[in-house]
Amino acid sequence: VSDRRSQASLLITVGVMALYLGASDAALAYVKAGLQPLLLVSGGMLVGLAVVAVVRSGRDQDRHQSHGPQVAWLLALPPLALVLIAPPALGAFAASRQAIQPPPVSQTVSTDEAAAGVDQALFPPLIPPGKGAAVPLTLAEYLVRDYEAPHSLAGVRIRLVGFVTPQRPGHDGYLLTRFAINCCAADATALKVAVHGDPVPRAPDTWLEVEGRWQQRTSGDPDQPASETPLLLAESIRMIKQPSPPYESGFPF
Amino acid sequence: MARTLPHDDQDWSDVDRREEPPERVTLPAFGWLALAFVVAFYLRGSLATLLDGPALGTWTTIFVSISVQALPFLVLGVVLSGAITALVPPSWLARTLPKQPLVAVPAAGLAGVALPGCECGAVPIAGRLTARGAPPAAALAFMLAAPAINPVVLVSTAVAFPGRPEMVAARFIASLATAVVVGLLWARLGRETWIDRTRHRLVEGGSRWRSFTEVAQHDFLHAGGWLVLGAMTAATLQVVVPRSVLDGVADHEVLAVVALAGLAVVLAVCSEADAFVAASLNQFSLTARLVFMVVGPVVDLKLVALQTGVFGRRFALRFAPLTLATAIILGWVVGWWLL
Repeated sequence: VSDRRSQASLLITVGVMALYLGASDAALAYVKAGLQPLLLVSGGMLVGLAVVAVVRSGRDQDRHQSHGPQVAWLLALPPLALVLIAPPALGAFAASRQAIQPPPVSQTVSTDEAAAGVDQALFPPLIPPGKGAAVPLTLAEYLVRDYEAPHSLAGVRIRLVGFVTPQRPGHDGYLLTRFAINCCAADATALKVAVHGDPVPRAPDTWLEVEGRWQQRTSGDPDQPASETPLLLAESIRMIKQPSPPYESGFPF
Repeated sequence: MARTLPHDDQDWSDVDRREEPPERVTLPAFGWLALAFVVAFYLRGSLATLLDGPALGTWTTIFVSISVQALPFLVLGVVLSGAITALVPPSWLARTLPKQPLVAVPAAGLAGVALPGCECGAVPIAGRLTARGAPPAAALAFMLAAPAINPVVLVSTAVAFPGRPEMVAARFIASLATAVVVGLLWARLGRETWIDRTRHRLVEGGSRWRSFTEVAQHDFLHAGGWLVLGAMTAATLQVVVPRSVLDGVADHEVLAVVALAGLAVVLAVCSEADAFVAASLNQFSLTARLVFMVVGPVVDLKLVALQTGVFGRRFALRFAPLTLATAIILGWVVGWWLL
């Protein structure tokens, strides 16, 4: 990157990518929506720097040759990857490589504290919006309630949204999955709920809206401890498009 | 190619024409860049199936998201480092800062409170501070402390660990202590030759606007390329090593600490979000999660790459292991004391 016009072209490339991602929903596959205003500002600054560099390249040719390093060319890779591959939001492959783990829970409730009173305050009863209608829940909330206040889920029709991740061998059904991100896709945590009772085989990465009822976690074998995956017994299932944003928020802001 | 017009009042006599390569007919570098994008645009359909392997897709998603996430903070960093060069006279820092490392290093570490943001911005700023005459030990302490103890990060830590204010206190103390200890060790053991200063040699002089834009552009290109390299490494390790390997070691106190320190290095998550990742790793002890939050803002793959770009390879090879060891030990000690 030895001449000003090459430097300017790199700055423009990265700046335009930042402006595009700042303005488009495509960014939500990679980062949180909260980062988009910052992307717009930084993209504007990079384009501004590029304009200055172009103006200077015409004005004082080679007098102030500032040599950039070769490694700067790598800056073209993220925009190239966006144009060439347009990488999708994380899916079943990434999810299957994460262990099923407890959700990012509020640490305030320990199991012995989770007496009825605490339950009521933190996990208010789920009221269906109409008679027979389902209560929409995020996977994170379903998981937290399953671990901390399972009785608040009992007897209510619940609607969950996620994509299909194949079950591990020896388990029924599939895992309805959605990632929660805190900042960018690099910190994504897979949230998984095992869906039982779906007669249709589902391909991995299919987005589904599942309505059904909570079930007590079991291992299927009385001698084994209960499975770690919360369960949902499906009653009706609808295929949907990937929601936007594709990820759940890892924290409330 | 833009040519200087004859009426341009440029003094050609001081331009050494021999250093300039003869005008070639081949494409200039930026032409290749444009061509690459045109080809990429037309190939995207046919290559999509070829590149559709789930591992490659995941790799690309993680690579792009680390790069994109770090970008605004890097831009903030290079804008500030441009402002430092434009506004701070060269000798001022050396004159103003206390001479004693025992005073200067903790003071510089505490000054990190004032820079809200992620770790990527702090690296070019520290590079410019040393180039402007600040003692390296103080600039490095600032670089290590700023991403971990600024108010934004402390608030997000408090939100991620509700009802546990001791976690915020422990993070603040352990991170500041890491920055100060590494700074003091560097003041004692560090050699001037380990820092590659040629990387900061730049056209000095000209107007303030000129040096501001020159430095911001130079630092962005320099640090940005290395940042991308770091993001590629982190994405590779995330795809190659499944996160589920962690689960086997959660119950073992020593292995858990080492494993989460390693995870912090590999994940390369920004410091404003790492508390939430730590909170979600609840199969691990609080001390192990504290070590994760102390290591992450000071050593991770993208940071080591950035530091290589800003300070040189000889620096990064020594600084990263020193910082990693210090952060693990101090995080552990503070966790044992407070948590």
